[in-house]
Amino acid sequence: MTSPVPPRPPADPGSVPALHTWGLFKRFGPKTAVEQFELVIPTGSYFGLVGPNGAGKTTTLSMATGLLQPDAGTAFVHGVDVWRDPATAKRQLGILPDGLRLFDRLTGAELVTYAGLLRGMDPDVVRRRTDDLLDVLGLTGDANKLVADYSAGMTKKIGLATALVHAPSVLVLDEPFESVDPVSASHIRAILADYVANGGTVVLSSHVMELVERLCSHVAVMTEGRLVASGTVAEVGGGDLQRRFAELVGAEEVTEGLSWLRPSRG
Amino acid sequence: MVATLARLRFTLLRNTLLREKWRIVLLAVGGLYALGLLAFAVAGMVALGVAADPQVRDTVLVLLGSALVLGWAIVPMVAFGLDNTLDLQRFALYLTPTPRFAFGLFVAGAVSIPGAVTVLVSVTTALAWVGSGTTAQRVSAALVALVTGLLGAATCLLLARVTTTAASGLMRGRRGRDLAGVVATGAVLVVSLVPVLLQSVGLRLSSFDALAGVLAWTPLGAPWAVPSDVAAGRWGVALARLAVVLATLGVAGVLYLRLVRRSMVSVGSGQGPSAERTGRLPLAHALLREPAAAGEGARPAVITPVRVRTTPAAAAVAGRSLRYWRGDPRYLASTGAIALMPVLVLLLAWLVTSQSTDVAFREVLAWAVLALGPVTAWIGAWSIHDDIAYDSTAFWLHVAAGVRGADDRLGRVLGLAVWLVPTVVLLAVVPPVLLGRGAWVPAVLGISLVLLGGGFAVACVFSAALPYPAPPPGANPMSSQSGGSVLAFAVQLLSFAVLGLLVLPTALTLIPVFAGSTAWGWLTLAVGTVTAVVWLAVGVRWGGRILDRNAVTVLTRIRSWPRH
Repeated sequence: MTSPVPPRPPADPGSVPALHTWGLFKRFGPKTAVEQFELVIPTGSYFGLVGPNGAGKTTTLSMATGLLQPDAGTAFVHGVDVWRDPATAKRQLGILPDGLRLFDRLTGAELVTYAGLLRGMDPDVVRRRTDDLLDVLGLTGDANKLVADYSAGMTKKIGLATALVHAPSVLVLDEPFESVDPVSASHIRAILADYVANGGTVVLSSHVMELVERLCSHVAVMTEGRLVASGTVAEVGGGDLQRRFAELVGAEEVTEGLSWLRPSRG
Repeated sequence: MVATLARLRFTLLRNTLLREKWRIVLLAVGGLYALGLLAFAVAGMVALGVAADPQVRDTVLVLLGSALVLGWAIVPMVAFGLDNTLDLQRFALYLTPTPRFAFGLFVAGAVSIPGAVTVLVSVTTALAWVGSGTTAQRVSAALVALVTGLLGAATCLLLARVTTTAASGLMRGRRGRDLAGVVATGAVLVVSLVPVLLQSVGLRLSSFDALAGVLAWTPLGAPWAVPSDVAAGRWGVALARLAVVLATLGVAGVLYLRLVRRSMVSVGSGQGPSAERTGRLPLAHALLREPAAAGEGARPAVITPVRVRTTPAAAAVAGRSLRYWRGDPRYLASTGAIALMPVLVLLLAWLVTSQSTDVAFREVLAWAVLALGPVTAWIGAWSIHDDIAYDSTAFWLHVAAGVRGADDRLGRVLGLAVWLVPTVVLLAVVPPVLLGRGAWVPAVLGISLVLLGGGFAVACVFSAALPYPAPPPGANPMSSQSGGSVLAFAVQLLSFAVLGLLVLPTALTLIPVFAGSTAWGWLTLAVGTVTAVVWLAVGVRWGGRILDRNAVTVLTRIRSWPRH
């Protein structure tokens, strides 16, 4: 079941992509979770990875960021192999995973401090950046509360702060807007837009097409562990990403409702 | 409604069994055990009815019955409090909390092996009355016992519902859960000490009779005392006790209904304002502060006497680790176990002296306190041998940050050592000196130190190489390791064996200390200190290298554990 994987991606020194997955392959028992060859995420792009639930988005992002060992293939962050030189690659990565815990017995301020210190940063720099991040994310008032007592939206925001504190060059965010209230979502959007405007690369996964269409410059569609389309939003979506997505993943558009579903009283 | 809920429970059970086949074995063993218990109860009741004198019979029935009721009120709440197969909140969307629904839930909760056994055993108490007295007395007492037995069983099951419903309501918020975890741990520790205490107090038969006499008027013992009154013709007393039973059922029923209503209507955590804390990993900053700047900090550095050179990552892990020792119920449970060790040592000394008269308590105690330091060092250092499992999936942050394995190891050791080492040194020095065993201090200190160093080293290697399922964050600390108990046992045994090897060189130097002079204790101290430092250094490096290699594997394994 091994996939034919070339040892190296084609050398193209002119434009090194921010994130480049190469022949990633992962099986969980009998189920092939990801079987995807190449995903090129250009530097400076605002990249949306979309797909239905269970398409393998989280698995792909986990393997691309060094959190899950692929069965085959690898990923490159600005040309650095995540699985051969993890230390260098991880310095440039900021990650917000989905479905993993945080050290939630720390306060919000402590968790961000912790993330900064873990990356070997100077304590004074960490202190300043923590204050800035809490301020921008609207968490200053809750900085001294335990993360365990945070709401879902606050938890996402503090997770984002831990991903940002070391000023990474590539941000990989798994479902950053899930269960986030509109106010927090606009906080997050503003930070990400500013980050991309200053040359950063954002990769986010989502299953909300409208959101990706509105925010992202590039989009990749995956379903059942495979990549089915990739490019700029205009190239892939052609004006209606939702419809294009439905075609790509083979979902039939529902045109008729349920004949008996009429409001009843009583 | 009642039948539907009971059927739902069986469906849930069947699905669980189909998914986790090994539970079938467990269920079969439970069933066999229940049958045995039932046979034993029948035989016991008949024996009581035929042979025992009335006083013994009454006392035994009331005491056992009270234990049964108390057990139902407490055990399901403490041990199976997290069995939320029929969690009220899951019904909240579909139903309104009517009395019929509450009753259905009560019945569905009762249809289980323990429930069936309780009902049957309660009914068999009638057998205790068929052997003595006139025919009229026997028949009336036995018939009454049938009814009161059923009432007693109902009390058991109803109290169980009341306590579990109340507990699950309390445990919805994080703080409630934390508190419940700590209380449960404390209860388990206290209960485990009760037999020892009872034995040393030396209960006499008359005190059992007196206890039963009191319990017979409480909700715990009343159902089991009524038949005896009937048999003796004390009708007034019998009626009064019956009133106690019925009042208990009535109050418990109303309470249960209210609890059901409240916990289905209130959604979410409903907890008060959460705790605030202003420091930001003070230990981490203390470890990183330059000696020159030490004065300006908000808190004094705890470890200023010993300069430990750490990277920011190791300091961060140490600071976080200390936070968890102080704030996470799972770690607090470990702290409790560590704190219990000295108590056990003292209790042991007391027991030895209370059994015989020719040894003085003070003499035995003076020897026993020599064990305080080593035992605390041993249990304490070893307690982090599964530390990554306690991080649960939050460990991803270490993986994502590319924390060096050695930094991770050293940080965890420091977070514990910062309070454990002073405690151990204090326990190894002060009590022996106070009790006139000062000459033994060097030997005791030497053994304590190598148990610390060796224990830390073992923990460093084992938690990186062989993590096994631990209770996930926020869970009851006592609910541990349901899945991997065999693995857990094997790892614990192996780690003890390795620790034994590491301590061996120092332990050998104890031979001349015991055989010859306590002056040899200085050799123990020297060997203990040197080997402790060596083991610790090796443990941190080696454990670090293992973690560098398989941090991702460890994270993947933790992700596969249930509830993590």
